[in-house]
Amino acid sequence: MHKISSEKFHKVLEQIIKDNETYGAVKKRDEYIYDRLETLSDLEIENYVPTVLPPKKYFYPQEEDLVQIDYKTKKANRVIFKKEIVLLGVRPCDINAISLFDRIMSDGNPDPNYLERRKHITVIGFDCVKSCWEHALCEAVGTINVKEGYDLFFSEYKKEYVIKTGSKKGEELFDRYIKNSHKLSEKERDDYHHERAERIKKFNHKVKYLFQDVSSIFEKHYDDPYWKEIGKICLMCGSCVMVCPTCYCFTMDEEVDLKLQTVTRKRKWDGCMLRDFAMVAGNHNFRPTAEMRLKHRWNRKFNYLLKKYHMSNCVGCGRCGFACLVKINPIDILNTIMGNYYSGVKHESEK
Amino acid sequence: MKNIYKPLKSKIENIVHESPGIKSFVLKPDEEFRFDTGQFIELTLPGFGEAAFTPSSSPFEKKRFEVTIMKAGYVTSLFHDIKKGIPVGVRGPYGAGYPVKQFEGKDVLILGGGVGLAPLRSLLLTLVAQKQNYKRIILCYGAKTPSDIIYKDQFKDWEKKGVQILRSVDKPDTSWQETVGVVTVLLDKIKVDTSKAVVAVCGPPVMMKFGTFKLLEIGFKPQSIYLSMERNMSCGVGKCGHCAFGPYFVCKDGPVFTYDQIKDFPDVWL
Amino acid sequence: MKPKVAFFDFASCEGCQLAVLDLEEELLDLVNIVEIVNFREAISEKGEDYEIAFIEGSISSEHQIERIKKIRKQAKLLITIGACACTGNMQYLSNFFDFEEVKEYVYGDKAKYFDPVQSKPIDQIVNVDFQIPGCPIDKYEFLKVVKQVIAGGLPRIPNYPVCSECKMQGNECLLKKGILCLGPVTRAGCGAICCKNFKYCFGCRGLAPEFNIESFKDVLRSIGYKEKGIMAQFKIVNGKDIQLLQSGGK
Repeated sequence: MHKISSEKFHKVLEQIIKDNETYGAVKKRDEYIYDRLETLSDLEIENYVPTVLPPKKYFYPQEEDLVQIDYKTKKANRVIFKKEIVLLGVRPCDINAISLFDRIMSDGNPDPNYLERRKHITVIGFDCVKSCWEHALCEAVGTINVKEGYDLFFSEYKKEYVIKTGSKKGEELFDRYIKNSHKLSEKERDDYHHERAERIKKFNHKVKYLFQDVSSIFEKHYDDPYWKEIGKICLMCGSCVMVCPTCYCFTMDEEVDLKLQTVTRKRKWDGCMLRDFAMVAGNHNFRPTAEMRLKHRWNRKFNYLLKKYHMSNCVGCGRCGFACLVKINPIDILNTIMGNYYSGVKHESEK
Repeated sequence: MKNIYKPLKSKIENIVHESPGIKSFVLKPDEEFRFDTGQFIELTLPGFGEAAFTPSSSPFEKKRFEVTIMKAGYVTSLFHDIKKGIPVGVRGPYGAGYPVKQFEGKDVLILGGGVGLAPLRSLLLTLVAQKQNYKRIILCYGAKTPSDIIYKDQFKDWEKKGVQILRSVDKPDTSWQETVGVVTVLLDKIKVDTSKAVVAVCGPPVMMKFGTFKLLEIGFKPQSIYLSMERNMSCGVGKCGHCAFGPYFVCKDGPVFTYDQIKDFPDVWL
Repeated sequence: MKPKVAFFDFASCEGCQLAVLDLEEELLDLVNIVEIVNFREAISEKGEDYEIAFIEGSISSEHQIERIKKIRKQAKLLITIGACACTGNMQYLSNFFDFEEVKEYVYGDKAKYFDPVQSKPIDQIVNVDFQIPGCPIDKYEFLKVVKQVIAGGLPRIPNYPVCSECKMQGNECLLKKGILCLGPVTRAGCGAICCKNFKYCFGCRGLAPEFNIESFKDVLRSIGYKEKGIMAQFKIVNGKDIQLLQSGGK
């Protein structure tokens, strides 16, 4: 762990933006989006609030080609889009989401398109010094801390910046851009961690119950009446899925070109809140209602995948809660269902 | 890295009309193609899309395989319109099939409804080929009407090979001599020592549900009931999320599950 | 042999046919795979021997009813293009008024010289094989449909609402700013082009196959809209479906 002055921090970032195709949070009208940075002044550092879409779109584009098939011979060739880019100012929630994506995509049958493209993307993270907005629950689900998924990570500490490297690529970046820096003494390190912990204590803390029990509670209260309640108002519009940094479901489609020479197999973001997602031939739908879809989606985040990957699959950014027009959000879901469990509210199958 | 989204070119060698709305397709892939009985494949009609099917042929045949397709949705309808000789794409095989090793020394009951007999036929052919390993093979099959029965001309052959066969239809015609009623009524007609038997079930969702209840009622243990819980498997490799079934992905953890694996899970029967 | 294709227009602004012509370069590739025998906006020939008919516009006279029935007889595949042909578009509003008054309002004392009927979308008169919705249609969606049809299948268009596509674009939500936008109940496929350009969605692609109208109305009420205003907004393009909803259908 090293630290540099605030002035040097800005100089380093300026140089990184100059040397690389860099993307970061930029203000557009009233909200922030990830976009190309031309200079450091484009980037929002102090007053960051989560962008409309997470940086997921660079790792895992909204739509991408997977395979091209010759229409006549039916011979298939793979297609992988990749580009050398730097993501600057990625926040802990999104870094955790990237780390989760890395694990999911290399798990079992590795996804070549994601993994190949991932190699070409550099992630430079910024720590959060304050709660970004009222929708966030990162401190509750444990995603305010980062372990993997970044190359370099900057954290403000007494008007200076502490630097952590998270990969070999990060070390190379450190050597290239930072060189002279002050190595933190053990005492300074302890003090930094202490100060950071104090800082996090001032975050939202809107989730009222201990998060560690969540998956067993979700399992026991699978039929909690709250699902019916929010199922009734859910618009089934899919906004929550699209803005989620950890939702990775997709649908595949094929298109022929106009000369009838090539068939391209594409994949596009899809989500379990949408009608056709669990529909099979003959129009049988395995999850016909919003209630069932919400249950499924949140059990994936807080139960099934949490157990599998030993971390919350909701990274607490709050984008879904903000995007939802009927205000369905993870803070209320956690508080209500865990609350019902502790206060002994009966769930459907017990009645 | 193996490209999991790239299909293998195959040719449609033959098409068999099984019943109104159901056809079987004999496919010859460009390369040798191995699968375990019960595993499924993704079949592509280039330019239109993919759909998941479980081969209905014997896994001991490595050069060709068959799929039986009911006209039900978009891709399946297109398959019903195509002709012999047309090249298609195949991905797979995916998922876990029937653990036939665990069936050894036991009575194997096969309970099928409608087009659900397709994956069971592959299982049946697997068992028949190693008949000495199993005590008895019993097939209970139900269809809506006699003309809806698939593999019509093959039952005789299976019977000759020692399979005990019981069939029923919901709506008989004048020539129908066998059982009338839903397929579960056949279960009253057989005698098995359920403690030394396994059963494989595949059919429409409603039949799977009541079939399982009936099997439990006559004494089958949840761990001896093997169910084909097919959903809309799309990527086939546990990535796209479409076939998520509670904590499982049908494409990776299934499509064959024991009832024991899923019985505590809510929303099993939908 | 290239399939023969014809374009016909009824009550409409012909903007959808213009959208097709706007394909420019792709248009040349298109005529390599189909033969266009009738397309008033683009060519002078008027062939009556066609397999695929693309219909723009709604039906608003007795004469047009006869004409569309004739087209239906000839065409193997009848595909409607645009909101007028698919949902009836704003012409359908005439169904919400006393028709004698409408006629008088439009034609004055000359009404007796015309044979108008209350405007109807094509599928209320003849069987339609496929609909490409939108006001105007998305030219690339049109291309996709043509390719699929030529290759021998019926195409698929999105069944999810515009919100999904809008979020995919990374757009800011207009409803959050208090602007009445029909994104949550409208069929996607347009790439949320209006919202992307900071214009609200007026539902030109028709209602999505699945939506939660009551909850959506609550959302609109919470940002200050009254029932009457909400329904008026819905009726602009989706009068037919709103009528169905109100009569308890769908």
